[in-house]
Amino acid sequence: MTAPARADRSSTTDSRRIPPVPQGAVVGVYECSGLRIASEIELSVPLIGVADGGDVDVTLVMGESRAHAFERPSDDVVAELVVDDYPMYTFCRVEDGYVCRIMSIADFAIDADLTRVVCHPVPDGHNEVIPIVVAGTITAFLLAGRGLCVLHGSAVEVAGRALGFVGMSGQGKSTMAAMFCLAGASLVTDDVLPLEFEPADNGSETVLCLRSGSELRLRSKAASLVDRFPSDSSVRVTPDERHAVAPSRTGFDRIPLGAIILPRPDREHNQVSARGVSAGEASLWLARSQRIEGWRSRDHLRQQFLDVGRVVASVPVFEVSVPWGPPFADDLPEQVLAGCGLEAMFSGRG
Amino acid sequence: MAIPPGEKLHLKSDDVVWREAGDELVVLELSTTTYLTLNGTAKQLWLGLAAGSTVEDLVGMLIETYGITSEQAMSDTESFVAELADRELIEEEHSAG
Repeated sequence: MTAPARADRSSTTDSRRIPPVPQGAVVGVYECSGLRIASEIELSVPLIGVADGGDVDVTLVMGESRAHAFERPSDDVVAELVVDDYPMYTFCRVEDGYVCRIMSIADFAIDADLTRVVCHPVPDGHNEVIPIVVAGTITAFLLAGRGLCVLHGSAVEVAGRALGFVGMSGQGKSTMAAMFCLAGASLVTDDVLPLEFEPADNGSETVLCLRSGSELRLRSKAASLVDRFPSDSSVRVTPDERHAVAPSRTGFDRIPLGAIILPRPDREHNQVSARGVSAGEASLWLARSQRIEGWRSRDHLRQQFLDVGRVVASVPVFEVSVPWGPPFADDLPEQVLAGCGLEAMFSGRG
Repeated sequence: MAIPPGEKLHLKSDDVVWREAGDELVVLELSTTTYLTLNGTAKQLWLGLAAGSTVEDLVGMLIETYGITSEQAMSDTESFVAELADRELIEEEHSAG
C-alpha cells in the first residue's frame, strides 16, 4: 500500500453546520448504498443529478412538522432500539406501510413498497441531523426491506477487494477505514455496509459490498487523522459533531468482500494481535452488528440469520486488537493485514 | 420433562431457526432473539431432534457416535431435552393412533 502525500491542515478544518432542513427545496438525486434517492433534503452522499421525473428508487419529501408522542406509532413493531430505557428509534408497521419514529428528531412515513418516504420533523427538534439519519438508519431499513444484508460497518478497497470493519458503535470502524485510506486504500462505505450475494464459479457464493457515501465520519478522539489527509480533501464538522473527511472513493459500485475485521481498540499494548474467528462465533458477532438494531419481525430475523450464515461461509472473519490512539501508528494497516495473514489477498496476489 | 418410551419430540420450527457453521450449530430463538451455539453432543442431539428422532434413537446415536455407556447417554439426552423444554423449544408428538 502506498500512502498519499500528507499535508498539515490542522488550522483549515471547515466547521460549517448544515442549516435547518428546508421544505419543498430543489430536489436532488443522490447515490446512497446503491439506491438513487430523489430528496428534498440535502444529503451528505454523492449528488448525481437533479430530479427530472426520471427513474429513481426512492423519493424523499418533507412533510409538515409533527409533534410525536413518546410512544410507538403502532403495536406492530418491526424493529426497535432502546438504550438505557430510552427508545432511540422504533419502526412500526401501520396500515399503509411503516412509520419510523426517531425520538426528538422526526417521524418518517415509509410506504409499503419502500419507494416513498415523507419526513415529518419534530417542532424544535434536532433537524440538523436528519440528513445523517436518512443516509444511515432510514437507508439501512430500505435496503434490508429490499432483501440486502446490512451490517453496521465500514469498508475500504485494497487491490480490487473490500476489507470490512464491522462492530457496534464505538468500536473504531471508521477510524480503521481512515487509517487504511491514509495508507492508500479507497473508501467503499462508512457506517452502512450493504452486502449482496452472487453465485461463484465453484458453486459457492461471492459476497459483494456496495459502495455507499463519500465520507468517513470520525469521532473527536480520532480527528487527528483528518489532518493527515491531503490538503485538497473535503473536510467538515457534521451536525453530530463528527469530523468528516472525503478520501478517494473506490471506482467500483460493487466489490467482492475479501475479509471482515472486528476491531478491538486496545490502549494497553503497542502491537496488533489478531485471531481468526470460527464460523459459529463470527455468526454471533455479525448478528449483533446489524445496522438496524433490534429487529422484532420474525421474517427479518430469519432473513438476517440466513444472510449472516452466507457471509461467514464465504468470508473470513478476524478479531483484531489494535493499539489505539491518538496517536495512531502509521503502519497499523500493514500490521493488521500481516496479523491476519491477508497480505497476499490484499496485494492483488491472493 | 419425562418422555414416554417411543415418543417423538419435535423442535418448534416456527420459533427457532438454525444452521451449521463449521463444526458448530448456530440457533436463533425468534421469540427472545437469543442466539445459541451448539457443538459436540449438543449439536448431534439437536440434529437428531430436527430429524424427528425418539429419545431411544438419540441415546442410541450417542452410544454409537461417542462410545459412552447407555446410562451416560441417557443422562446427556435427558439433560439436553430438559433444557430445551425449559426454553419451550420442543413439543411432544403423541404417536398413539
